[in-house]
Amino acid sequence: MREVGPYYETLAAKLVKSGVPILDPIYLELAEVMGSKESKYIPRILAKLATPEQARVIRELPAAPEEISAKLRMDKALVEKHLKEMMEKGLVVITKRGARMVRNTLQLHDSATNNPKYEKLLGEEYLDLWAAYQLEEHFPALIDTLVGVDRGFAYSRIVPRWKSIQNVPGVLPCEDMRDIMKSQEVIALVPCPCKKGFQKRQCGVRDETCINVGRTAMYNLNRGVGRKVTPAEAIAFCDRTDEEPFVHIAINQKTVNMLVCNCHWCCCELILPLLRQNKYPLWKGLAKSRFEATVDSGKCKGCGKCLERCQFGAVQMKEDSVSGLKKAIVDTEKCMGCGCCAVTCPTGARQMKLVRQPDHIPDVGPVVY
Amino acid sequence: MPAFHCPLGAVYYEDEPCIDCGLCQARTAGEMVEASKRMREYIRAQGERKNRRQKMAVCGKGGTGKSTLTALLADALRREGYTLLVMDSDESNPGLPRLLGLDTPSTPLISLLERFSMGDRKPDASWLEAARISLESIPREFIVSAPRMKFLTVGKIIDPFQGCACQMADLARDFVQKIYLGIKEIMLIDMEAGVESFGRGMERGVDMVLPIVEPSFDSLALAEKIRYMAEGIGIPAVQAILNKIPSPEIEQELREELENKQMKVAGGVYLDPQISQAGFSGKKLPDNTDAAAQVKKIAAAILSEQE
Repeated sequence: MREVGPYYETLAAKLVKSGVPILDPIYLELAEVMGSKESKYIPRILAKLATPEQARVIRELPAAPEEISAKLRMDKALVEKHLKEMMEKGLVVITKRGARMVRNTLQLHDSATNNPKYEKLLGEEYLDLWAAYQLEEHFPALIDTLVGVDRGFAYSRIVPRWKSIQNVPGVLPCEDMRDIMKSQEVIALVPCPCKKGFQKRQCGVRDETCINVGRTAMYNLNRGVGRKVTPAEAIAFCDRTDEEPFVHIAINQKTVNMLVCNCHWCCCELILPLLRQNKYPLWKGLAKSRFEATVDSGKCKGCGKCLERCQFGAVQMKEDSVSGLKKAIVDTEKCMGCGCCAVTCPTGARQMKLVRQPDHIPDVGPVVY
Repeated sequence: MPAFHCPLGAVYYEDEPCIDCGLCQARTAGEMVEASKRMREYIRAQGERKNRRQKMAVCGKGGTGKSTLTALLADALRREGYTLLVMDSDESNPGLPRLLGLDTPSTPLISLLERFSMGDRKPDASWLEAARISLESIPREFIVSAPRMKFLTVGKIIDPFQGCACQMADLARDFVQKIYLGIKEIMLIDMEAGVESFGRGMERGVDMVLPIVEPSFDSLALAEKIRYMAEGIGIPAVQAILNKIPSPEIEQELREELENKQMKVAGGVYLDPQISQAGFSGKKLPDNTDAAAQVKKIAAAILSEQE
């Protein structure tokens, strides 16, 4: 079990001590629709996102603005204004069939923490509520989704840094960031909702790291979140951040059509839940890439850079019995194949090698399994 | 996270169909399971449809405009929301990637043959031995990626001692047969000129043959031969595409001529100076030409044949 730091561990106690405000019962109703009836935090989060009037509008969804207007005896223009604001805040999604409320709190978290337009308005306590909710209630409930017991494969997968595998033959287009980006029609660089939710995190990684593609990018751009980038700019972003401590993660399938996350374990919705439990090993819920790090002990000078780079504790320094010098070795059980160590190894001793077959990555991913 | 994901893309793209699976409206875990069940069944049913035409071979006499029409068709189909795998098996002219607007060349498939003949089948050639190959399981060195399109070339034999061309044809045929296409995925093959490839059975894996016909006696005769050979290997779907038509009168004559030979015509493309210009300078084909509009109609005719 990994801890994320004393501030977050005591957050829940602090928030509870600050007193539970008396909430309009409409928020409990909305929380119930989202499957979070018992949650301590979700009704309070909803109360910050929507006024009671807005909450009543959302409660009527799915329905056309005219119907809501007639039922609540509210001006149609006002209903539409509320729906638009809720769309920008991330509580409502506009589909081909009209507005609907987000499906669950996972979806809400990914959309409701990163719109800069409402950042000041929602304030710091709002983000702290999210952090407490994540650590205390959401992460334990998320394990089953990530591991996918009935599905039989992990929810997401590691994508190696492209420079670490550029000389390896047999790389699939869905594993190389250059190909992933070149096959996109729309790309947006978006503030990462996970990192936004953990404002006092220790990793120091910037907020704007979430590479949205396709429809997800269009969704965020439509509500004023993130900025549009070209494939070349997205690849340049990856190159520029080679030194930063994050790993690329994509949904566990061969097509990349939603996003590529850039994650640090201390704040990531896809890694941290798995590190805070002992039932499953990490790779059950987050698939390793098809690659594995190797060390050329002839080239390794024992500088320990890789030890500091590895997020998963897969590097050990051992004394070489012949030369008596310290050398890095790879713990293959723990190595996730992210390539972070290989791109920053000063002597080029760390190389990635292809160790798994193409069917390691499912054709059809976890959304429709 | 899966947040706003519709597996069919029906949420944001107007041109893609909503099958009413209910995934985007599902609120409870039970509804989610029900909805994904519907989606799964739809995807499976699409995959198993017997009469669909997904692998198309563009062929014809040399110089009739196979590469140009392949590029125009690829663009038209992409605009209809399809994902294309374009395969260049015409070794005589290297212009196709340029017409498609691609810059970086990919490794030709033939490089696998060299390794195969040296007995090296591992580990990066193993993908070719799978029973079915999906678009995403072709390694990146053989592919040029672009939005909604993947491009690959078969390559040609340069060294006289490299071996028999039959081996290459075997590899390409195997490859075409094994490619497994999903919903809204189409493979377009720019064949080499003539009918020689039929002799090697290259088209056996193909569902539809599109002979290009220009106003010349030779080209008409060859189109008929192609139809005959396609039928011989069990491909009933043959649709001719007329190219380089100078006038409506000549189009009428060509159509009548083909009708007499009992050949279906998908449509025609008139002589277009913009297209010739692009072909001459080796640049990407421009979007808003008359030819592009004509090919859009041809694509619609070919797609309606699919149903």
